[in-house]
Amino acid sequence: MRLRRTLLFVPGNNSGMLQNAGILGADAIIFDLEDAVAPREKDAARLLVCQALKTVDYGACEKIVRINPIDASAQEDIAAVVPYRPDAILLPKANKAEDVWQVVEWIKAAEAQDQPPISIIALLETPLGIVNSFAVASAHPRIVAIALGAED
Amino acid sequence: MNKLKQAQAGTLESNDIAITVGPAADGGIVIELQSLVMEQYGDQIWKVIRDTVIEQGVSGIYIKAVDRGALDCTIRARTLAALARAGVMHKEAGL
Repeated sequence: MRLRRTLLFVPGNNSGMLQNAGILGADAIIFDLEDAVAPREKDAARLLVCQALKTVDYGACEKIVRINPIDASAQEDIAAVVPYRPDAILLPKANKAEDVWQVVEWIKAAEAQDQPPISIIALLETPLGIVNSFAVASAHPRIVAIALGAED
Repeated sequence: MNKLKQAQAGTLESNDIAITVGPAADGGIVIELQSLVMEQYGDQIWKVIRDTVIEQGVSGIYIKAVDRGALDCTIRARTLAALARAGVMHKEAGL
């Protein structure tokens, strides 16, 4: 089991923070394509995170990408970042098991055959998500953690 | 490559590069580069931009790049983003 005591959120469109994120000793780096990125910069952030994952050495840090919600651009995010082999996808606004199943399908479609399976961390951010938390947490073997998104 | 639109990507913050692309009069690749580290890394920055554009099969393009100390991966990402916004990126996963 991986330790996730310290999670460093990094805005996906900030090149300076992306290139230095690995030097602070966090257990995991979360490359944020969601709230930290302005809507008109989502495309550029996606490309920047992909290139960072491809070339920057993050040492022992777990590499997690927070994608946009499934009713926004989650599918595009997954198609873009999965080939660059993050360790996990952080799924925001996970409200029900079907959300997890959908994301698993999109991940499988983007994964290469020789690629280790990408894990999923479900972020519970709504009352519906809390009510369905057990169903979300047990929806698929790729779910390795759930997190409470209480800030917004 | 007359379908290429003018587009911009990146910022002028430290460790970033602002890339502006537009159609060029002739069929080549014209790169105008400004950098704080032109003396040390100008050739490498120029090469990354040019290689990325060639890889995408784009010609007839004018590129203005204002660098603030970006790494190669950032230069490549910003160039790709500008090309995508200009409607001429085809060979990269994503977007």
